[in-house]
Amino acid sequence: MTKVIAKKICMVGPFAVGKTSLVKRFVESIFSDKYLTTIGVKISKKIMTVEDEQFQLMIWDIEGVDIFTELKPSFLRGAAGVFLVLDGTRLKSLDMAEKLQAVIEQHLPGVPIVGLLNKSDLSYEWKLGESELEEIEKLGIETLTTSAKTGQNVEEAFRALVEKMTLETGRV
Amino acid sequence: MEDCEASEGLSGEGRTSTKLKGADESVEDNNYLKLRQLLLGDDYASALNRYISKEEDAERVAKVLAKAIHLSNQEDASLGDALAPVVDQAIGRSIEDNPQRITNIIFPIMGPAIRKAVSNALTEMIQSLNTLLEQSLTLSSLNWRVKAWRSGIPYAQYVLLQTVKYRVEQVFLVHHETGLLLHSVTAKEVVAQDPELVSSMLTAISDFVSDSFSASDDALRADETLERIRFGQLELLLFAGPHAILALAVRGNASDELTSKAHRVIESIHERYAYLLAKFDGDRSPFDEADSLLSECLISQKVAQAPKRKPWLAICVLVAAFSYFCVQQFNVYQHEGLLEDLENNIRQEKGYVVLEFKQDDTSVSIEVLRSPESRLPDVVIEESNTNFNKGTDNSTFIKIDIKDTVVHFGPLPKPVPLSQPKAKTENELYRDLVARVESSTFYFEPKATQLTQPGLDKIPTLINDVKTLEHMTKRFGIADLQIIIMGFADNLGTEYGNKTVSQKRADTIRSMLVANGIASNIMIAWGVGNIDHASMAEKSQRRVNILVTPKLLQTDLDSETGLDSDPRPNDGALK
Repeated sequence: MTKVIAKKICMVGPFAVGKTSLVKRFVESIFSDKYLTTIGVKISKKIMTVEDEQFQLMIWDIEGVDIFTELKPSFLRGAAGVFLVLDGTRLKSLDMAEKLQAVIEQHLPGVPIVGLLNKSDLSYEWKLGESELEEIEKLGIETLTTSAKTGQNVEEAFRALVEKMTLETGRV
Repeated sequence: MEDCEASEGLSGEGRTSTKLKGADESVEDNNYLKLRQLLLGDDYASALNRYISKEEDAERVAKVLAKAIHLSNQEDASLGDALAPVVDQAIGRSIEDNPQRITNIIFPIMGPAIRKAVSNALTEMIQSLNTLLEQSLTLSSLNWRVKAWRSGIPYAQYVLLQTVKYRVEQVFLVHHETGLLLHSVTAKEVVAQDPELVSSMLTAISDFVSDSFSASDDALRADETLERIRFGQLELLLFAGPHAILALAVRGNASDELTSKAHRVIESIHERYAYLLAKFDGDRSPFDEADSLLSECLISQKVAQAPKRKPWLAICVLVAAFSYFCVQQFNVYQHEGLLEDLENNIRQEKGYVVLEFKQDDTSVSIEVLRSPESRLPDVVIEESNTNFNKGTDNSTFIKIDIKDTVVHFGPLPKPVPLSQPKAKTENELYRDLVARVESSTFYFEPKATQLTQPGLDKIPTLINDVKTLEHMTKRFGIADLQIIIMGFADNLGTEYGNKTVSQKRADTIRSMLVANGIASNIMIAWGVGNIDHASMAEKSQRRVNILVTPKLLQTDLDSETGLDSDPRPNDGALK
């Protein structure tokens, strides 16, 4: 039997950016327009093969953060990789990125973070211009433009994160 | 200077060995030798020896080896790790060299172990059989089926729920830090959810609870962990160690035994996998070995004996009903036997003639005739009744009603019962008929073979009587009715003539009877000739007599009377 490496991944981001939808698209290949707010955390499982190695990803879909709710660091504990999910149609969601990144790096030092600019299918409402992208670049994290609805870059995003994780462990 | 000396000393020592082996000694070397001797004195030889000889080394090490091992053990487990392969190899070699030895050592351990295993397996089998029997056909099983159907659970699962006090359905070993599942085992017949998701969710819930309710101080929080979650009949027990959490999904109420076992298991897991747990990077394969440890927690405790009570009641009722039925049957049988005995007793009682003996369910009525000197009927019944009373109380319900008539029988106590008159008359009639037929004598004129008028007048009666005889014997199934018609002659004339004439006289009567419809095959005509005494009148000698056999319809009845009635013609026939 091939060795299966189990890893914990966290989805972090402001509320209603599409974290749950991304997970659903990735795990079940389903997308639903209906908005369901996540309370606490929802955990999904997906087996993924990257570079001939099998990974069992336990994806912790953590509830969205807003000005009233803070990110609960205990959910992050032990994670091997984090997605910082942002909404490309809501500029306000970008404002929190920096703060969230700080929390993540505080609790998970050295753990790879991949930024996701979600809802790319809503091209008419897309708000990200050059200046915003520059700001994101300043954070120093790799970002991908994704869409849970069309599935654009979803698989690739997970693959990218897992690859970064393997590099990370290789380095350590 | 010192440095220089030290280096020189070192180089000198380094050369000692070469010098000892070497053949030529330089002057410088000699100087060193002297120096050494000066420094070490007499100990030089032994010091040199000690340096070269391995034996002394061994001796020295032997002296401190035990203590060294002891110290090393106290410090850490590295010695054990280092020795493990050696010990392993040594044991392997030892077994290979002398298997008998290891057999002898293991034998006393193996025997009881095997016996225990076998008896456990047997007990388990018997228990499961018992449970199956208990649950397959009882009222409660029907009840459970209905309940299982209503709650939408498979019947087998419902039975488990009912019969098991608690049962560990799943055991999870969860990595504390990441919430990843290290290993899990599931009990048989349990429908398990994805254990990986369960373990992650468990960690999440545990985190959530401690986030929400615990002290904010992180140091304190480390000690406080979620210990149990209960919903419905299922309880999750969590036993946290520093690196891993053992979670048990238990249905029912877990016992202390289970809790202490779980503690032991999580402790030994930490002991065994401490390093792996601390450096866990997602590779779970090493934890597959923990399977047996986790399986130890898959225990269950059955409900104590509760369902067993019910059948006892049913069995008692059944046994009672059956024994009641048996007693009843026995009573009826005994009762009938006793009644029969009573009847026999009364019938055999001296001077008693039973006219009637009637019995129904509740009463017996007896009617008897008895002689004055016989015992009183009450005494006779009392005698039989002692048996009755010995039997059961039921006899009291039987009313014995006896009606007796005292009759003076005369010298012979033999009764003439009313029950026999019919057969008697039939037989008497027959006997009378036989007598009448045999008494009819036909007289003849001298030398004549034809009947005179008075003789002819008797013929119709004779025919009638013989016909009746024939009829009666046929009715009673007597096949050997025979009528012998005997002709006689007087003492005058020749013997031949007398024989002929007597035959003719018999033939005459016979032919007349045949002509009147009497079967010829039952009649024999026999000319006897003259056999009478001279004293007999000549007129009486010329005659025809008739002899009938058998004399009676029922030969076994009253032979005295039958023989008494007509011995004479019989005698004549024999002569």
